[in-house]
Amino acid sequence: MIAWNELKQRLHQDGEFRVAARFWNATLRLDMGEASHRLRFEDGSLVDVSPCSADTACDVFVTASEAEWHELLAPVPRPYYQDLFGAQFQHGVRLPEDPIAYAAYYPALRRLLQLLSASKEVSQ
Amino acid sequence: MIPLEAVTGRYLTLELDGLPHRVYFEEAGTGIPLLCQHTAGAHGAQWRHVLASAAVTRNFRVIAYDLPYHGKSLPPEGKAWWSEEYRLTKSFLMQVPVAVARALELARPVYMGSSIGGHLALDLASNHPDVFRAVIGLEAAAATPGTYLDIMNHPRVSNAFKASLMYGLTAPTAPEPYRRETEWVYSQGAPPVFKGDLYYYSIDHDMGDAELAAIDTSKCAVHLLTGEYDYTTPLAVSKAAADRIPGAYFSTMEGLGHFPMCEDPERFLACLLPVLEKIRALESAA
Repeated sequence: MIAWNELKQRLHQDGEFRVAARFWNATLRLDMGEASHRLRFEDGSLVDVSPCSADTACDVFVTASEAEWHELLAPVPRPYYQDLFGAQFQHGVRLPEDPIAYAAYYPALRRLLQLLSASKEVSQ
Repeated sequence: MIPLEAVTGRYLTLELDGLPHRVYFEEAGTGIPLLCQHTAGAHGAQWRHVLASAAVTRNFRVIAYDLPYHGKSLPPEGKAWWSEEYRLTKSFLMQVPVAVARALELARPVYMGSSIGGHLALDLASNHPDVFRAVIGLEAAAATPGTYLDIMNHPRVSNAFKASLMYGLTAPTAPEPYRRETEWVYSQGAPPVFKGDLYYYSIDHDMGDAELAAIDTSKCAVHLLTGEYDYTTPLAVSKAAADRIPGAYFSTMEGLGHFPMCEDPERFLACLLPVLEKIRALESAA
């Protein structure tokens, strides 16, 4: 579904993401239906992506069914899928219960999602 | 030639909750007064495209004010506001457009607001139909519980979080520079203000069916317009409020989110102008 190497390159080259992700040291887990991936960031750079299980320890996760990821990553998302917080509020997307876990890097997460969408398009 | 715009900015002092408050406002145009209320945690710059629209200002005197604690309207000097948590109440918020209308001697103005301003449209129609000839509520509802959240004013979270959330409340089809401008305005708010405003949005504004049904639209016309991408005031919730008000007008704004006037001004004005024409036609008929 995602061209991960392509994503890594895009994140590295993206000015908005680099600004938003400065000082970010965290593990992000993306659960896309049955498939989960662990993304490790060091000082704002994505240094590793690897498949993992849905219970792998992480600092932040985004969990959704494959169908909902399809909505989130659509070029023009349907109403309320245009934002993670909104998709959590009105749809079935899940983020950590305590928003402190991701609030400081919400702008980075938001940009990451846009670049994931672009990476998905390239891989098809 | 000096490239000055037609919009002018001034201050006036209003008595609110028994204290003088110095309030900033901008205005442009002539004709029926149109008071514009910004969203929670923001300021009047959100209305800059309406203020600049010749199609609006040829028949309406547009006045966009900054609530106290927002934009250029600083906190009052007469109280130790720093020693208590900032909280916007329905009682205080309703006073502001009423006081502006009286101070500027406006004859039966039209009121328009979005988000907290949209909710306020309904509270004004219910409580002050003698002051306003019509209200236009953008993203309005009878109640929107669940958003008075501690994360909106947390020492470990910067304003960038709130601003980023607001970007997510705009429509993905809106022009990118205006989505970013909407986000930028939010990043300018004083840290406690957004959450404090949500006290009104999420708790203090709570209208029951009986209150909605009692609104007299023959005295104060009610127009509700809601964007299809607004996840905090979903279309169904907004329309449900309109359905309970006899004679209220409701319209879906396709391709718009929670900040119609600033996220996609062209699309918004296409929705707004027919409403303003209806209001103008009422005056002509009278």
